[in-house]
Amino acid sequence: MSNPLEQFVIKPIIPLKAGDVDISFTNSSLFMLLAVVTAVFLLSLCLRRRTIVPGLAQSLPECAYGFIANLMKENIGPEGLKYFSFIFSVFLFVAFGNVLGLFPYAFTFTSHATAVGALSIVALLFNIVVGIRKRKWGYLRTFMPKGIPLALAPLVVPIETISMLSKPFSLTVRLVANMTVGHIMLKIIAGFIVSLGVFGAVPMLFSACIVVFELFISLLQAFIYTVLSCIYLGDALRSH
Amino acid sequence: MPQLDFSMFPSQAFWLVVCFTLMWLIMAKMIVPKITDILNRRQRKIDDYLTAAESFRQAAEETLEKYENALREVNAEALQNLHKAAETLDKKMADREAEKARLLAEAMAENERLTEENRRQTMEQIENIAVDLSVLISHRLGLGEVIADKDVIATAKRRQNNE
Repeated sequence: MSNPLEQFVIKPIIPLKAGDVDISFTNSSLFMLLAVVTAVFLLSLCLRRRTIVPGLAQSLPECAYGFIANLMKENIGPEGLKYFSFIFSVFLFVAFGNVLGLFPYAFTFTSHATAVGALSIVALLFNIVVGIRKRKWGYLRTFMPKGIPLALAPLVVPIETISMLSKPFSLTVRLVANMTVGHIMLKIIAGFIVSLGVFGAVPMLFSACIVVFELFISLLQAFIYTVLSCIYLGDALRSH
Repeated sequence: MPQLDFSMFPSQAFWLVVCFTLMWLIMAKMIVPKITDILNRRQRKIDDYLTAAESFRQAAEETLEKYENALREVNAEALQNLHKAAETLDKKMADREAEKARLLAEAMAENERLTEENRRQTMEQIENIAVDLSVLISHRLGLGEVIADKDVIATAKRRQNNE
């Protein structure tokens, strides 16, 4: 049986170097690009002919739009819709990354803490930039909420700072752990299909069920990632 | 675990930022405007239809009001006409009754006159007959023609006048 962790190995496709730093185009990069291309291609295809009364294809992106827009209205408020494109991109990027990874021989970049961590840090930076632009100096209130005595500042400021910095960490760990575990399980069960011979039908059936379950998990995790990003963005825009 | 291969960290982070930025740009510039455009167009169309429906409703209400006003006016006019007709009829009836009463009075007066005339003529005739009779009686009694006809008449007239 092959090593179930082998699927996570990153292999350079086009070696690239920027100074001393290795920024090779790898199988992971390829699937990131594929996620973008697939998402854009599918959405463009669905939105090719736009009519007032939507057909089945057109209603898919409209549903996705309505879904994310509602999420943002609930968690940020109506003014949050200004940042719709960002959250929409986060959702699609994670969702397509997760789902593409389910195909056999595919690579799941969302199972890599570096990739997802980078995305979470991008989201954190976006929150900070948006928060400072909206609230100017008031953004510093994030670290020292209103109504807390000044004497507690030495305690509260580090706590709030850690809390803010731990947000991308928790986002990353949740998604990566889910994706990694799911894919390891799929790989192990798929390995049994071959090694059990005729009785391989049992793990094959089980594997089929797991794939459906993993598809659900993929979308659910993308949803959770998006909801939490929304909440963090809402926190950045409001003082608590 | 391959996830812990530090040598690949910069490449992973770099390509993620590149790809995500690409995704973000395409979404913000191409896809999302398309969706919002169609949603806005739909909303405008729905609003237009609602406005049109509202104006139709108002027009219908105005028409109904006009119709009711016209109906009220016509009703009032009809009532007025009815009153006028009744008045005219009353007047005509009264006129006709007066005319009838006048004719009746005239006929009665004529009748009275005729009756009086008759009475007078009858009296005259009775008188003549009385004279003739008295002449005849005196003649038969053999009083001869003592009394001339003319005398009798004159006597009778005198007597009548004396009464």
